[in-house]
Amino acid sequence: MARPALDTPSYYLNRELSWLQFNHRVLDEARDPNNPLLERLKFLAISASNLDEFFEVRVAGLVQQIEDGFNEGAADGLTLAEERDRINQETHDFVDKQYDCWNGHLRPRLAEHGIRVLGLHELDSTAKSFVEEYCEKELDPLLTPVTVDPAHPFPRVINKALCVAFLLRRRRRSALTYTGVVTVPRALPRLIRLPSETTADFIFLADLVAFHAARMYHGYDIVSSAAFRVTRNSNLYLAEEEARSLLESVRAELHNRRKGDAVRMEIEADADPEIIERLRGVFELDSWQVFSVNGPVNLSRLFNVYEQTEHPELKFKTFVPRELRLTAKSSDLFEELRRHDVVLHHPYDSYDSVISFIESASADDRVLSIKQTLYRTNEHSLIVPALIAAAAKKEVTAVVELKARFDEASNIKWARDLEDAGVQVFHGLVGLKTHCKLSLLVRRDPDGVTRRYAHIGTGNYNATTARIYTDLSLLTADAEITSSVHDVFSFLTAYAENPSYDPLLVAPLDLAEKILQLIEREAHHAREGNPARIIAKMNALLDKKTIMALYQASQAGVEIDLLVRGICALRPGIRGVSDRIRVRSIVGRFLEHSRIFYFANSGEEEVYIGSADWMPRNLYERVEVLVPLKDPMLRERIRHEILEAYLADNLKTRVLMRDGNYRRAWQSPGSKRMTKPPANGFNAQEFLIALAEGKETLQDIPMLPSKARRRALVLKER
Amino acid sequence: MIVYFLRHANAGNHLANPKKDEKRALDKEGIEQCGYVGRALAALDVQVDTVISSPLKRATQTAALVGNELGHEGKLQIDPALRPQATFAEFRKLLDKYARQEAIMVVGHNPNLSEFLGRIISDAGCEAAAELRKGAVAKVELRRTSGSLQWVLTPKILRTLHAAAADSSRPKSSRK
Repeated sequence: MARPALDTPSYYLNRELSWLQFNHRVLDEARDPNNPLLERLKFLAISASNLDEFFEVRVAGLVQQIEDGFNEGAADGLTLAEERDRINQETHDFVDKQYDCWNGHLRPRLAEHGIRVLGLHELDSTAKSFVEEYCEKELDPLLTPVTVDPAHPFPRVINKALCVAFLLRRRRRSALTYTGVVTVPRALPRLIRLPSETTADFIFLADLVAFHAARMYHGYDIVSSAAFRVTRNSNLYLAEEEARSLLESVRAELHNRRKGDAVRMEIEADADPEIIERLRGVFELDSWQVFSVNGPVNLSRLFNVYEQTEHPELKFKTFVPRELRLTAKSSDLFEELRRHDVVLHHPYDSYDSVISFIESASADDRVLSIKQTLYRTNEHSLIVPALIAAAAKKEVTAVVELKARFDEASNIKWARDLEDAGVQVFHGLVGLKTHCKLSLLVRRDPDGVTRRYAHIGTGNYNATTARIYTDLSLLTADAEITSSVHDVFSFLTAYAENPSYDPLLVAPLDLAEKILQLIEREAHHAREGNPARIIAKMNALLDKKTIMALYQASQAGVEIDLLVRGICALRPGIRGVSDRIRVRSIVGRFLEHSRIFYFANSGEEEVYIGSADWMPRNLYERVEVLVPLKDPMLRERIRHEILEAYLADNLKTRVLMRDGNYRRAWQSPGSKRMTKPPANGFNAQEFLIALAEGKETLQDIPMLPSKARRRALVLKER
Repeated sequence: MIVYFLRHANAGNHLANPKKDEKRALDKEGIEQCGYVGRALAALDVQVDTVISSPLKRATQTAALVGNELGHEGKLQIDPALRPQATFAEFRKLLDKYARQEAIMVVGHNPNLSEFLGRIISDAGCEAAAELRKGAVAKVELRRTSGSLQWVLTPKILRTLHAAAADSSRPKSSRK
């Protein structure tokens, strides 16, 4: 019987449903009693803000496409309408699960620890008088009760802004009901801390607004009230080719984003059906786009509770990242780098080393020029001031990506500040996002030789996220690599295309093609009976060509382990197609963000790190860089410390099953029973912390029982 | 920098008790005026980085309503330099504070807001006669020391235009 073609739809998983699965894993962390309580709350808040973004970008785009008359879907064969219906069902279930987690688990557990989110009726007299005063002093001046009728059109409702709707009836006049609406300007915290000596008490601003605004409608009876929140399409629609200045057009579109059409409305579950219907009409929503929520309309605000309460016993233990130590022979980092490359694994290795690489370059008179890409950086970034300070004395070039989603506004600000300071600012190439993380210094060293030094990362130059994202940094003075990094900067600033960026893999030029070649090479090795193996770690796997290459490699006998945190369109375990492919996802304390690609290559191991996921947008629409690690010691570390630990994890790992669902690594396949995680389970992130703190060693990574078996299998086949 | 001067909208009559007067709210007419002004500014694609208001209720309400119609997502800033008693020197300081921004909107009261407007668009030491009606908004392009007035719109003009035009001036976004 002929084998079905590798592009058979049933061999692929749906992108959006796979993403929703990922958010389920985040929510599962919120439901997991083994996590500290406030961390669980944080996971719940993250799952809510993730879902916001999903609606603003993905669902909005889908609805738009359907409206524009498209219906053809992606590799998995679902039509857009079918996809929408599945999303409808899945997101409603998901939201129910979120509120169940909040009402049924977190809220009561937190109250046991004296952290309470109260309703108006639960306040004691002190809190009540505080609330009265707060409403009078802080809230009253900001609120304006608006009644909607033909003379008073509906006020604009800003994306994700809190609003309260009222159903009103004129006193002693008519049986007609009116709609009242109060929009709450962004001047006040969405969760307000109440005075209390022994407990940490909070109340939602929405409750206070409903309470106070009701008193502002003089001459009306309030029939019913409900807080609601509208999510709008937040995609930017840029006509880049025509734009005079990219900066100006991004700025203008950023403003338009606020006017994007509504894609979702969340409203309190006890809202009068009449209110819901009226609002649904105003925002032109289908009934599936209305989410009745059994609690506060914006769970992501619960993050404030996490931030505003101490209780270290309810949070993850803090840890001390490992500082980079120079060998005794080197007087500074540059000398160290001339001896050997350095790999840092953040957050276990301190990100300060990367910042001080740039800071010391800024202060060092020997450094002649600095080139730097910026995609997302933090608010109080030390890198931007370092570049500004350096601009006075040396040549400084920055490639600032203006289209980094949801960071556009702050990046425009950086770009302006840098420009004002005399930094040469480029906005990257038309139509391509600059996603690679590169920093390049030219330095006249004490021996009179001018050398280049580079930093290549998998994560953004952002000290805040570097503490919670796992990422890798390569610091190197290797002449070949730094020269190619220089060429990449020329590509970014002058569109000067080189035939080859060897040893770097650069998207959109040759990265996709080379990845396919690397996968095919492993397949070839397997066919020849040579050692072949692929271990790839990334955030998302979506590119169809790459997936087909992986299927072919699996068919050729290559053992493939994929560590894909988020979306994975590859379906593992299909007999004769992907039975040698295992997909794992780790969702835990840190957001897995590093991209690592390991190829056994018949004994000549190769390891690449960089900024690119295997998604079409990374491979074809962005400037991305992957760099090979040349130093065998560093390859060894990646393989036997980092990848080994991740593959051995059985506490935070979920295994993707053939049906597209994930199960915990410690759960036996098929059994739906929630058993307990093993007492002696292995948590890779915790292990890497302990390793950084010197409390554990590599010998503590458990040997995978399956690995021995796998090896035997490979031998047998040979 | 572009500065939009916006005087608070109708809020009934002055109250003798200064404490009570601070809490005087917009009346029905005032709320409607804010709608006209806000939608007109949105139609003109006015974008501001910050909205700054006097702490008095009629001003904060005006700022909140108009800011909302503009789709302004930032936090509303409250500044005493826009109080009815504030001096031009205090107002100058406020402008300096936001000098790095591209466009701001200040919401205040007469007579001093009209005075600030008059002084900012004339040479040092002089004051042009400018009058901002309730709910009126003026656009001033500010250079280092002085500014030039671009236009002034009053709710009455906007209502008249609105009534004259067949359709609502509110932009209907075309995309989903």
